[in-house]
Amino acid sequence: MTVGDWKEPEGEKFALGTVEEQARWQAEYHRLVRDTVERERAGRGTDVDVDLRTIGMRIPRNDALYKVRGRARYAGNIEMEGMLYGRFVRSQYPHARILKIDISKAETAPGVKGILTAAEIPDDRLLVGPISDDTPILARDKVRFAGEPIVAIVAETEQQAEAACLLVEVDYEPLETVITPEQALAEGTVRIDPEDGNVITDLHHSQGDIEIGFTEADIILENDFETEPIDHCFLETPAGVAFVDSDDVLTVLVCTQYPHYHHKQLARVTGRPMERVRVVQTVVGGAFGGKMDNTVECASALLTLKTGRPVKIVFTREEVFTATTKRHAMKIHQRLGATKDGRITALDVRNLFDGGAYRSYSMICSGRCVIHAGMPYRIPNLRVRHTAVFTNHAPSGAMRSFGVVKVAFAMECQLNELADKLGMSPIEIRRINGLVDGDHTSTGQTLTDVGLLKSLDAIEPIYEQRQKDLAGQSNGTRRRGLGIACLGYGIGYSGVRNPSTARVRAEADGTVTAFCGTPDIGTGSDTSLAMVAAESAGIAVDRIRVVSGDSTKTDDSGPTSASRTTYFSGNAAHIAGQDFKQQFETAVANKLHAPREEVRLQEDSVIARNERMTFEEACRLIGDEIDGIGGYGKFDPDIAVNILTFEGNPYPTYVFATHLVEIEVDTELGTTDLLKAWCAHDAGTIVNPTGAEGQIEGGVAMGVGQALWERVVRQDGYIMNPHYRDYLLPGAKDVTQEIESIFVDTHDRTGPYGAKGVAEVSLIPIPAAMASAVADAVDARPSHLPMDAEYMLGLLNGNGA
Amino acid sequence: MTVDVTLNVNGRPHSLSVEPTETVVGILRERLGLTGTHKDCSMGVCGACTVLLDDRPVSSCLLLAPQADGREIRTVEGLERDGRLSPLQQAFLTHGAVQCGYCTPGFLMTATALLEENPKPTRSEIVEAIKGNLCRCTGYKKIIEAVESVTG
Amino acid sequence: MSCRYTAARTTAEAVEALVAAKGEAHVIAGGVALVILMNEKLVEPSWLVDVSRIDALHGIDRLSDGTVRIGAAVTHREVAESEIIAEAFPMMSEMAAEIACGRIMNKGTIGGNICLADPQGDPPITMLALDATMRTVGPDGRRDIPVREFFVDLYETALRDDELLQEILIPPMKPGSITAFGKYAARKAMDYTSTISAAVRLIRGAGNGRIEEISLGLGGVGQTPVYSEALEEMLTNVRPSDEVFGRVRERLFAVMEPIEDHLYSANYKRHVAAVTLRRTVMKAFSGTWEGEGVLIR
Repeated sequence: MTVGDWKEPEGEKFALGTVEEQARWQAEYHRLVRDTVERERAGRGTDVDVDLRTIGMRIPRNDALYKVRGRARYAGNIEMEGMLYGRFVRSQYPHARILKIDISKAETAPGVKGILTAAEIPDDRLLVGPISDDTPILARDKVRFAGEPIVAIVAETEQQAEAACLLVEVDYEPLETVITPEQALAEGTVRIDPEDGNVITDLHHSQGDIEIGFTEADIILENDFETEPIDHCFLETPAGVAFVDSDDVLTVLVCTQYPHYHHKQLARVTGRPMERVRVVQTVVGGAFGGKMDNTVECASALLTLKTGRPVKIVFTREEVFTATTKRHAMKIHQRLGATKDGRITALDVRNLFDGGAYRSYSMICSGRCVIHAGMPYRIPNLRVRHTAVFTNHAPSGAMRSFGVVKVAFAMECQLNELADKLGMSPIEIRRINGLVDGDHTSTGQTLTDVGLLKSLDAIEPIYEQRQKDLAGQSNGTRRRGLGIACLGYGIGYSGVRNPSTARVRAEADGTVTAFCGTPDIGTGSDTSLAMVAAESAGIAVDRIRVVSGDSTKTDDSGPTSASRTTYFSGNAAHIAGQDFKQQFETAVANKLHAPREEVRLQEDSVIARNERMTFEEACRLIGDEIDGIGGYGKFDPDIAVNILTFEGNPYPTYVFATHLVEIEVDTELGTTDLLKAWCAHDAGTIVNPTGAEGQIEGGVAMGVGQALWERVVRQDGYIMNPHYRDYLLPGAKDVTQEIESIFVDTHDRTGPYGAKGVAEVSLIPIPAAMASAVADAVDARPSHLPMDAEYMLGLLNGNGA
Repeated sequence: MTVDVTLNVNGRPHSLSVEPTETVVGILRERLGLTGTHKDCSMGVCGACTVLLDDRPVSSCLLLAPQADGREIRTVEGLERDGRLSPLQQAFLTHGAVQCGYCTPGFLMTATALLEENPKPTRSEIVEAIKGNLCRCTGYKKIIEAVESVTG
Repeated sequence: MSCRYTAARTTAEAVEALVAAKGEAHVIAGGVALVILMNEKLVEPSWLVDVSRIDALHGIDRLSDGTVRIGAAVTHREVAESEIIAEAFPMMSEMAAEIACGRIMNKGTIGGNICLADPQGDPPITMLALDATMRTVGPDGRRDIPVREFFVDLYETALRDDELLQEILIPPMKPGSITAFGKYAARKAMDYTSTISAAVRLIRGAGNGRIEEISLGLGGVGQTPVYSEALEEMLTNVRPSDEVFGRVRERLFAVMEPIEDHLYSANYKRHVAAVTLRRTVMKAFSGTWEGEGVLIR
């Protein structure tokens, strides 16, 4: 591929494959979808709401054809003529002043074509970040974590760039290293950040009167919980290709959750006008919140501008571990008060986040942890204090649930202990306290369409049956246990408007393209959005191609994160589809000189004056004027929260779930196995059951990892296990196949066809449910994640955490 | 020094001059343009780079090119027959076994070898075969179901 | 840095290269350990001697005296599938079938694994329990090294720089011998750090009520694959009981120095070693086993 010939027609999705491949496989996809639709229709019978022709079908993903052929375009697969390859020189110290950077030996090393240091980046362009611009593209005077990039080098081969990096000499003056949040907050500790010292954010929120709440309580549980840092472990390491195209547009092809963010950032960092920048999302090999920060984007862009040649940078796995964001290590101190009949009267929470060296998404995660403290329960008297601090660790950022998995770990463990102490079942205690329609959240939001109790209803009979089945089965060193945990999770950004848009257009040959702002990061959202747009437009789903993830072809609709794509972009696609349908019908009516109301586009054909024509025929009839038809949808719910008082409506809707897990503990070794999981979700209407189940099953697997093994091991500011050999991810034998996804019958009045979303949330209850199942099995209460075997053995032997 | 080797990839011989320390994953991706074989951990743990060497799965990140000299290598690009997906590829599509897709070629190669050797594996034999391939998205269930669906 | 490469066809060619390289060569068979180190840039070989295509390093045979000969370049998969081994030393088949995963079994070799001398390695401890002999070939010809003299220190063996492990000779077990292999791993597959394993061969006596004789190897409990005559003695001529295993455990805690790592402390490893050993001995002794395959749980 060359810089000149990479461009593709407007309606093609670059990431999927070449134009020829797309043409070839589109027909195959049509057949596949048609077969699926026919099969599903036959199986549905007649009792289905006729208005839902596509929603709810198991439509295969439109990108899987490329993926099973090994032809999907991940950024690392892209080669261009004249391409250079980049590598970084990274800090050897967790905290140090940079005294001198000597690149002279590297400059003359074989193959080296360009070297970038912070010295040549102007002050106002050096700092970047998703929320605050605080992270240098390359460190200039000081490094704040081991692994921080200092110099970027491009060469004719990756090996040459790597070799040249070893020739760069950096003189450091080591500084005191801050490795725990407590140390960061202690008086006299060195200040990591010039502006804020060591505090990233310190949030307070209260509702009711906490003292009165505890006075009313008959029982108070006070416990500490701790979780370790986690890595996203998306299998595709960050990778990107930057070049200037033949129209002088700086183009970055990169695996990201948010192309428009990089677009704006690159315009600022390069000083280019917005229209001379383009960011195209390549196929993303997993993200989970870890592909929303700058990694390769800025350095590759600056180096392509500097050298005039395409630049590709691909992170190694070790770089991912040492230099990309992590899930926050967190400490939670919780006091929970309740009456003896099980009613929660007060909750007092103190959270401490290890935010690492820069802000990244710490602020967002912190806000979410505050808003979700006590979710999904009625807490009349609540007090939360949440502090996130700087340390000399790799920055902590966004990861699946933005911290709520840890909040839920504490809350659900507390609630289960409360149930035990009061002699109640974990179901009952949740029925008493669980949120229902008309309840208010701690921010004062009134809830509607809350399916929490329905999810409890779905789990209850299974729980009771398994309790009977297991009675007396635990023996010797093998102990079985059951655990329940719930979740409540707000969809979308926390208290900040985050609109999504979509456009739907047709071509004369009957092809329809939906341009959607949020990219598909591997979840299958493009397919769900195609289904929604098709349903709303009244056309067949296989007709629709989704173009997403291109900063110049779609509007900024925020990132694919926070479980927001089905709901936000789904609503946008719904509105755009309806708009398209209206315009299309009008165009046909005009051509036929028929009354507007006598023309209807439905089930992929047009009925006009009682005559039916195919969609293609209608497109031909409309002719050139079809270019004038552009369905547009914007979904921008009115949400806002005051970050000082935490009053307001932070999210347009909430999803809920109840999970039940069955585990077995080997009490002699301390090991735990997940045997079964039942996951009942209120996700609203399910757009694509296959996709929704896939999200849940994946969430369970990730939850097992976080519950039992996953931990980034740090020592004195260095990561000791930057590889899969010592960072243990669950494999097929470690994740049960007995995962049952249950979708309770709920309908969100504000969602597209009643949908809310699933995505990241399926992870949230798993560690808590597993911890509670452990408590059920062995009569010891874990308060630490991961519950690795040695920790568990200590707990069983009464050594505590 | 360089070594002259012939790698038979998907039935086609490629004569190459290689450094002895070059790995097959690098050659496939960088010299033969076969980027369907993915690269991640470079220590044989993740399975993303799985190829078949004389019909058996191996980590191509740990396979030095001279060691593959004269031997048959099969990659995900070689699974189609006459432009048609193999039944296993088709099953991955329809069972939702593909999410981000980065691990998919490795799973396809591992399961292809299993099915060629044992066309009717039990579920536990399937799990045993894929136990060393990591997937961060799917939770494995749909992958296992997809393989199971083509066992006849 | 450029690297020389010798694709040896005979042991003589391989030894010639090893001699010429004066200690700078790296022998490669399956490469699953060496290439990881190369990818991590912990090893940058200047001369690779590939022994994977030497006929003399292949094959599994039973010799006329009942000794089983395993070529050093035999893969784990071949060991796992060998009928000769399944019949002669069942625990070796089980052990080999549970090494990492299929991809690694298809490429990794028994000789490579033994020469790596990883304290966590599984094949070495079966050798210790079976009293195997390592037959090497060097410029001065053959040398037979009893396995109990083979593992010298962390990743260090008695093999000289100019020597090659050619084959492994395992004498027939005494009549009545029962073997068992047990492994502890955090997960159920793919673990190769922090594993603890035990290989046991024993003979029962007194109406199957006592252990009459035992030999064993322990993995993950020291700087090398470990055997312990003291432990063997404690388990000889006894009826296995909580009291006996209690003494074994005490001894393990007193003398074993497992490497503390990112997952587990040395003490936890000692504890797991005691459990693993007990469960594996009982697997051989009474057939009780709640584990899955060779995994002890």
